[in-house]
Amino acid sequence: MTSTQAIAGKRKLGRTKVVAMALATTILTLGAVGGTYALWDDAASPQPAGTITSGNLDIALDGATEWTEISSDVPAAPQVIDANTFLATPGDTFRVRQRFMTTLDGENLRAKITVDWTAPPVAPSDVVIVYRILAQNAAPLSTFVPAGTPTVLDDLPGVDTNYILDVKVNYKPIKADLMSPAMETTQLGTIQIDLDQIRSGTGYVP
Amino acid sequence: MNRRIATICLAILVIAGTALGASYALWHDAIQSSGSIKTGVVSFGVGKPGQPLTYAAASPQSVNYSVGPDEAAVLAANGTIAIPMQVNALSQGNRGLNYKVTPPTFDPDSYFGSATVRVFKVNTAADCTTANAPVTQASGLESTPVPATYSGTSTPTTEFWCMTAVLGPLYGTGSYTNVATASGSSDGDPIEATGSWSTGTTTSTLNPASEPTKDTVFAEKTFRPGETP
Repeated sequence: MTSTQAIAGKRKLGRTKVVAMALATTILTLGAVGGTYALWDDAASPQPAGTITSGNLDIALDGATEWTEISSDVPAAPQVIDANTFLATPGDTFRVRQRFMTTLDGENLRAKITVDWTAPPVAPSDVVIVYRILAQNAAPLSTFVPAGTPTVLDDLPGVDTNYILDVKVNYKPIKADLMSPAMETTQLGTIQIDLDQIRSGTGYVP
Repeated sequence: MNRRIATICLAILVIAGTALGASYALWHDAIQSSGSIKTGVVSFGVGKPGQPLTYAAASPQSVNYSVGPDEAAVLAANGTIAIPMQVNALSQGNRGLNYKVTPPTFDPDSYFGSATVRVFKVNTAADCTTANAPVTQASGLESTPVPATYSGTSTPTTEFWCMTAVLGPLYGTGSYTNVATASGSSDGDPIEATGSWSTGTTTSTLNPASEPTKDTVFAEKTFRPGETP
């Protein structure tokens, strides 16, 4: 390679090199005089940015399960009974009630209730078990359906609310007498009431 | 390039959201409830006091107390017999128990058929004696040992009945006399003649071992409050 050609090669890279050199010079100059690349910042007196409180969704039993005999031919009825010791017979009818309450704290919080069974009811022959959901004032919120059949209450009020699980157990009059020493038990099963948040319903803002 | 930028932006948002504690899961809570109740039972048994009773397998149902050769032998030997019968009744819950008693009908050609038989209720087995037997046999024998008001007891109610028999002339014992009378007239005057003949005393051929077995029937039923037993 001749000196002329060498000079020409250097000239081709000259523009880029000049820009790079200028940039480097600038950086070095600023660095030499104590310049910084940190973003400027100024802190005034801190102001409250506001507080966000988490809402709450809760369902809880309200008192013990109450058994009441409501047999139409029993003079003492309706009467609260102890299901642990009471002996049912053909023609008897019982009302079983469990109160529960829901807590829905939060703007735009909506929920639904689902009643279902994790262990099925066990009813002897000619014993019928049905249930429904009532409001606190005993107004029906659903219709009687056989125990074991799920019930859903959608679009619950967005406030704390009390409900009643209302179960009816009827020993049909045609049911045969149970002869000693046989034993028989009517089991309501394990009833589960689920409270689930939903993103719909009255007043919900998407 | 645009897709890559968008992907990067989304990733940044997710990471930022996670870092700030945001949750995308909907809230849930649950409770459970349960309960159960037992069925009350019925029990109805009849038999000899101090012996295992015979129990009804269902309700309503009848349980019988039988008398036969063994009792006939006692009657034949002693001329009388008093047979106590025990009833155990249990009906739990809102349910009463009533039973009706139907004495047996004895064949004429039997020991019991040759006796004056009475069936009646007594307070204890020891009260079952011929001296306590009524003069006439009552009808409509029944008892309601368990009322329909609620009962949770598992102890049965015990009652006693009594059958007495006092032997009379045995079937086939006695005599047979035949009397014949002839009537007529002679020259307008009535005349009559009577003649008779007899067999003399006969002996019964009854044998206690051949005594038919007959049942006193105890028919039970349960009833609800307000129902007629």
